[in-house]
Amino acid sequence: MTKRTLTTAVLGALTWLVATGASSIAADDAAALVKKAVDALPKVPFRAQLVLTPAKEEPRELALSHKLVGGARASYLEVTAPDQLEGIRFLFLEHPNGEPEQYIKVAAARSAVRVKDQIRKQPFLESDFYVSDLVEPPLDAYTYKFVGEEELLGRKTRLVEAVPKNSANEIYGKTVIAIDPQDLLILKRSFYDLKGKPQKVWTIDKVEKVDGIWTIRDQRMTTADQGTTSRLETPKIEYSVELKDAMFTPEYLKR
Amino acid sequence: MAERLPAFLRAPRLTLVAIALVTLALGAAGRGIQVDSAIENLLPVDDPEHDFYDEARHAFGSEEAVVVGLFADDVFSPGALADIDRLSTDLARLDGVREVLSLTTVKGVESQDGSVSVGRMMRALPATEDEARAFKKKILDAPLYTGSLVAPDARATVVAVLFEPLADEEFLARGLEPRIRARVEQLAQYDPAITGIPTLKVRGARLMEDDLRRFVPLSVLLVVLVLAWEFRTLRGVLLPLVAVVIGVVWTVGLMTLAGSKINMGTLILPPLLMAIGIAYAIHVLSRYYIERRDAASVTEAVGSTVRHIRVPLAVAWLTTVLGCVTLAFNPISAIRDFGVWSAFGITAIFLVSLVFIPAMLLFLPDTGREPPGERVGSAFAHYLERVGELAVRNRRLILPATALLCLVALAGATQIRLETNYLEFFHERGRERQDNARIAAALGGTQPLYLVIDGDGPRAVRRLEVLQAIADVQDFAARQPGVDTTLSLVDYLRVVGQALNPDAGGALPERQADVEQLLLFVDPAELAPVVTRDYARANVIVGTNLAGSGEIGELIDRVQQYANARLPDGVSLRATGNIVLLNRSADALARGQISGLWQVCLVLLILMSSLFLSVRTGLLSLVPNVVPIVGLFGLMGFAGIDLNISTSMIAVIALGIAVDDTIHYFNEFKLQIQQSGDAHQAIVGVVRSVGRPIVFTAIALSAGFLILCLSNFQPIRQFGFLASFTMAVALVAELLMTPGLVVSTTVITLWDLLYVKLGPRPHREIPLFEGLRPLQARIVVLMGRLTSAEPGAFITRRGEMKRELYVLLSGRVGVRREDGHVVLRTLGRGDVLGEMGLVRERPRSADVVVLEPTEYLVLDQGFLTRIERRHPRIAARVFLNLTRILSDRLESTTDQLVVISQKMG
Repeated sequence: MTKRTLTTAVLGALTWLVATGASSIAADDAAALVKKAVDALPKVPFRAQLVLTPAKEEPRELALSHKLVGGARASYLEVTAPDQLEGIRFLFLEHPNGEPEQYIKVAAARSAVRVKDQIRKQPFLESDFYVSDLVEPPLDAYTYKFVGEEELLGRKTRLVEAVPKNSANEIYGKTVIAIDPQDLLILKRSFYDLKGKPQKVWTIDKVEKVDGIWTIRDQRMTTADQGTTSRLETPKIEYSVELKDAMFTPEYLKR
Repeated sequence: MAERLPAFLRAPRLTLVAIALVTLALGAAGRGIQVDSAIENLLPVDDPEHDFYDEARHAFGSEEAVVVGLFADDVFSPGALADIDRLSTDLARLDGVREVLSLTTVKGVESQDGSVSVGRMMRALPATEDEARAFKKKILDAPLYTGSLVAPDARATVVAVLFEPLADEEFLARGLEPRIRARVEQLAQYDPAITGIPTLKVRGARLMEDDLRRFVPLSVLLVVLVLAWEFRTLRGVLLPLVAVVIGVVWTVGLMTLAGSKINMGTLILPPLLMAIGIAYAIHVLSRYYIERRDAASVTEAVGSTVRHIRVPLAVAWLTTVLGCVTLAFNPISAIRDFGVWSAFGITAIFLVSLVFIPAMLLFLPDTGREPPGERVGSAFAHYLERVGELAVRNRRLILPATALLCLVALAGATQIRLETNYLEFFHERGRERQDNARIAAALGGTQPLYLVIDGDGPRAVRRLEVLQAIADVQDFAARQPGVDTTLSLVDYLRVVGQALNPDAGGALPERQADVEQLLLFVDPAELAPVVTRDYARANVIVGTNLAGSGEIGELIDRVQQYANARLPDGVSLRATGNIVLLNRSADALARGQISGLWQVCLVLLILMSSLFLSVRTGLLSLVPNVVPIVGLFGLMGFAGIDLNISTSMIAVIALGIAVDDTIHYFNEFKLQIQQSGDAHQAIVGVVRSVGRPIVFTAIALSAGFLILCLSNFQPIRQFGFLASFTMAVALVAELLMTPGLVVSTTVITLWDLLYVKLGPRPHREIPLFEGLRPLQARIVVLMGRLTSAEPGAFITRRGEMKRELYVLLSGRVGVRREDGHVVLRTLGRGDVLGEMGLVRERPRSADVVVLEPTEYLVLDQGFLTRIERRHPRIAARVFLNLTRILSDRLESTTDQLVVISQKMG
């Protein structure tokens, strides 16, 4: 059983890196607000340069390519630095009505590795982000309710608590998402373990519009019990680029 | 005579009520006493190695797991796998269980459909034989599991249950182990076995409770039997019995209030306290019956009893407690606990014996009847007298023969092994050892130890050169005899490497980059047992079938030596784990044993020397007590009994207890010789009065210790047998050696003869001793020279140049003039003569001739120097007295001159 999570830490990541569209919502319904925020993600292909800096580790530089392929959100990531990790490639496929797929290819491996089960809970490139934090799980796997408001980055956000309908195979027991209802931006996520203890917090330090699309430039993930923080920056992003569908297949990782 | 009673006996009812109230309060508290069978109790405390072990457990997690072994023709059959899966699921649901590792839950890396998956090895329960066979191949091909999780022949597998960090009390309170056991026993068709440190702890606790339930009634029964035999009256049985029970209740109550528990050290406390308590009680009651023979009333008899018994009993208490206190400084916590609480318990029993029994004797109506066993002319008393005479007559044979036996025993003592094997605490045929042996036989490595490799900073142990060295050290360890399994970070890398690239053949990566990338596939949580999160330290988990501390020590030495040569600069290896620390505890036992014995011997020597004012006497008094200890070590060596946690306590305890009888013996000898002045006669008197209690207390102690032979634990059984043997030897030595030693030394007889010669009030009868206490007077005498002379002999002659002073202790002498026939003066007991000669060097002016058999003390210049240096206060008093004597003499001479001049004038 694939682990599901509502995180979008990097999700802001991949897709969420670019954040959200600009339509506002007046709905009071929490689920509807979350859905709107997800729906507001950009549909155009883009290419970005990422810098991931885990606690006590040197920065990892990554090249990200993203595109909608056959209705699935497909993201291709390749580590470009440091030397020891250079050449590691990741492929994330988020199907609209199915389980997400994750693949990794390393130099020592003859083939790409389908990431399943346990490994999805593992740190992504030794950072505070989990591999599973990089993909968006199905929205209907959760129940939502408003639990308050919070001001972040000068914006008034609404706090939505997302609780998995079936917690048996979850990493997190609940997630509290801070959404700016005006710009449909997700600005913070607080993750709690299955016993309700705070586990991690994802925050945005800088968000700005690029080519009319809200883009997260600087974000962090902090692990509560370890007290460690990893930073993910997006120094460069380019929207509406041309990307081949073949780039988003496991075979492409082996090249 | 009520005014002569000690304060606490002047109102016996009040004293008894106070004792009852304290007993009730502590008894209520003592009901909550708990047992603690943790291995940690057997380990040295305040040991840096212990801290390192804690550090390693914190870094890599505890190796403490309940291990369930399941046996079948094929544990991979669909039915067996379904049972294992249900068992794993049920056990994982238990509150307090962190994780269950079994065939159906283990995770791994596997190649599948041209891709690699990381996660549970069993994705779905095999429903068919084919699926089961495929799963079997997958598991048996995985090097991490064959030999550790499942036997290579697939006939045995284990289910390991790991727990949340729980205190031992909570672990016991939640009943986790019994619940696991109950669930496992539903799988009787797999002939299950259960082992692991938590199981051994719980079973150990249960067996300790079982021991306690067994020891207490048997000890009470023993006390009743010995007392009935000794006193043959209801009172003679009940008073000592209640006294020892009170002492035990106080001890257990206070232990509970102090948060202490019954552990492998304190388990022997109740029988031990009862055995020692009965010895004290017998001495008190026996003395009472002796005093009652001549006393006009119970009050007088009780008063005399307390006066006579308090000093020897207090010294006996002190010597026994000293042995226990020595153990209280032992590095091993179980022994330390025993030392503390046995010292307290013996103190409680001493106080209760000295207060409760006399108070009850005062409180109860006087029966006026002397117990048959205490009658002077009884056959037993007669027999003991004959033994005493025999011992004195044959002392020249007994002492050398004993010395020879000691030499033989010492040769045996060189064979003693230091060994602490927790598993062997349990009965050989007990389920604990049987289960462990079955699992070890099928899978091996039930005794884990950690080889912690310390790098020179974060990420050190993921450097390729360090990983290669770790691999070599691990291979070396795996090749050592007794090592069944090894696991390290290297294994994980090999497994992942093999899964990602089967052509590599499971070899270590050749590039640092490959290491870094392979590690991305391994969950850091999974790696926790073998590497710290910052990769500064790695851990090689070694599963061995070795359990003895000696063989573990040898294994560690070999691995350490290899690692020192193989590991790169700045990287080091240090072994740790429960069994490693148990090896350390063997060293601590040896150190504790040697230092404890030295300390006890030294303190006893000081104590006995002080008591009898002679180092020689102190040394002699130790002889009959050291002999049993030598015998003990000899027996241990010849019988192959290891020096372990329990057997290491015997020597100091036995020495402290055995010397009690010597004290009673010497003390009684002192009393007897005061009355008779004849050593041989005194020996008979000693044997007659204290021989019986000495024999009965020794029997009680020996039998009390023998009860421990019924323990569920081997070290306790060994303790019981050896302590019983030691007490028996101590009794024989006391009866056969002590009489010979006592009459062979003039030091003791001098002391006691002096008492006769000086009398009870020498300071009033002898002017030189005026103002001195009797003890100080005796010191003065001991520093001088005691001599005797027959009638007609001269003590000094006119014209002699002797710088000596003489103090007459008995007899009569005459001072004669120059012509030698006219006696000028007659002197007797207490008179001093020759005082002028002591202080100035002049020829003697008269003869001093002995008129009746005379004993006198000679004090010379050496005496003056010695007493001035060692006892300046006594010296000052003696010099003052001497000045007074000289002044009196001068005054007398002056008076005589005046009279003469008046007569002449």
